Amino acid sequence: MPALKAFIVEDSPVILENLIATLEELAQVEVVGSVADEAGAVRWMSRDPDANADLFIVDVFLRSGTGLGVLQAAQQLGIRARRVVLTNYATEEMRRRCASLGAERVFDKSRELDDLISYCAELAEHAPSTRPAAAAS
Amino acid sequence: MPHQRVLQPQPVERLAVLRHLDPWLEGASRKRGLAVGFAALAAAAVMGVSEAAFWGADEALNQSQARHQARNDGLRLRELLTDAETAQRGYLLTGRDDYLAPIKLAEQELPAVLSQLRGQYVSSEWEALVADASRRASEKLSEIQLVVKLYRDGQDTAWHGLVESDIGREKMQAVRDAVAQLDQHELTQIATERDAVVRSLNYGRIGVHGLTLISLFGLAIFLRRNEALHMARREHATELAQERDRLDREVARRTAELTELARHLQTVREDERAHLARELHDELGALLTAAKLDVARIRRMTRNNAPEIDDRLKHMSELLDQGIALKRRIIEDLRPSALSNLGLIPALEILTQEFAQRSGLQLSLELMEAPTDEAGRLAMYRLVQEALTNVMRHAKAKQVRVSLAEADGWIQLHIRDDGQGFNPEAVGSGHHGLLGMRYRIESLGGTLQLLSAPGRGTLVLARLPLREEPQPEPAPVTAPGELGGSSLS
Repeated sequence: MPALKAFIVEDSPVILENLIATLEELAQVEVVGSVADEAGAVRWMSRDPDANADLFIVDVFLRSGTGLGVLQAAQQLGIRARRVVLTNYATEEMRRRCASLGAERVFDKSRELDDLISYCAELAEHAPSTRPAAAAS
Repeated sequence: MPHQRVLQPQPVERLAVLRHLDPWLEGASRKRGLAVGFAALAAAAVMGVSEAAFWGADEALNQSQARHQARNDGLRLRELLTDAETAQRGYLLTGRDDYLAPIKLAEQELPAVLSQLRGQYVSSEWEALVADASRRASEKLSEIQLVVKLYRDGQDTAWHGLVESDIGREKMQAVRDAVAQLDQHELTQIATERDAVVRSLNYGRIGVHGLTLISLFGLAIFLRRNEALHMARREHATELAQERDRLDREVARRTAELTELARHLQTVREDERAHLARELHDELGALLTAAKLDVARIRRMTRNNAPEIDDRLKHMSELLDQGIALKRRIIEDLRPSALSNLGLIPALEILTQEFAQRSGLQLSLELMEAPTDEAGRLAMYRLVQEALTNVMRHAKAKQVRVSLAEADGWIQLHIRDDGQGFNPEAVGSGHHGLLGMRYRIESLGGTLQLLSAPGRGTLVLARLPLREEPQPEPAPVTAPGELGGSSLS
């Protein structure tokens, strides 16, 4: 079964644990790693920009640094994996900023959790065809 | 109340100074009449003494002049008679008429001289003597005239008999004696009167010297008292100045204390709010989100089998949403999460964008990174928030411009609108928001200025000192491999 490889940037252990369990249970997602701050995320991405994950799920407010910084670094590193934002602060302005930094979607942490799960499930289903990098390799 | 105690003794000290000063002031005013009276008396005494000396001397000199006159008259009498007798003898010896001139002079002058002389000594002890001398002088002149007449008439025996008799000589001698006595008397009197003048002058001199010394003494006393009074006044002024300086320092110290207290309270309040916000976000937020995730999982499991349960779960999910929304509102009220999580400039960008959408105003931004600490960032964020709220409520503006820049060692924050403006001096105490902002900015060592005029828009200008922020501790990084591995296992 082709699993969607996801990397999570999230600073709350409770959310992280529940999110991993939920995604793995409901959306055939394989969480390949997680960090709680910007610097860790950037380090992880720069190790191998393409091969590590298909999807980055990024929280905006982190223990140190921000999700916006992570998105910016991903853009600069030329990461081809999809990036989505999961935040408590999904204002219009924040959505605009995230989109301009290359985020494909922005999910509100309370109202749009279902949408995130559906989005992941859909990606996982079409994983081979939606991963040009993987198909090429 | 330690400050109260420090202040208390002050009025008492001041009263003590006044009490110390009072006798001088009262004494000076009470004795002023006495002093003026004394000075007038001294002046009158000087004038009196001088005047008395003058009149004494003047009278003595007048007397003296009269006596000189009398003496001259006596001597003139003697001289006239002697000259006449000498002329008679010359005439008798030579028979030439030109010897007769002195006799004619004596005839002319003698009556006047004799009358003057009698006038001088009328009703005095010398009157009889003068009358006698006068009579004898007249007789002597008559005798001379007679001898001259007899000689001219050639009665040689007759004039010889007259000349050889002693009558003429006795008369002459009597006049001489009387004149000598008068002369001696006048000289004695003149000497006495001169002594009186000298005495009078001496009294005057001594009086003037004495009074001058007394006046000097009085002046010295006056100057000394005056100096003492001035000294007391100077001391009093010095004490007042010290007191004023002390109060100034006290005011400055208390103002500093209040500023410090305001800053402290502000910090405590913001810290408390930040702490609450963090708790709500980290703990409650995570719990609610986790619960949401659980509900999502359960719904996925039960969606197809039990629609009734799914309805309840959907409702529960909505309740959780409401809880999360409430939590967010509280957090945003407590502390702008964008500021603490994204930094000042993104937070200001988000704030102004949202404001522009809400108000429909045109906003332009010009924001530069400027290093400041957490309190400074928060103060600037709150200031922009407050200023924008004011713009929306009062200004009726179309455009707002917010700029943040570093200049002259300060962080400068401008919020300018093109609204109707107001008169800053007429702003009442209703503007607690901006007053609070001023206090907050000043407690951070900055300044806040409000520049506005009716019809000219408003400029809020804040300056804060640049402050390098201490580098935050690097956050512990969970190695992705470990966490990912553990969650996978």
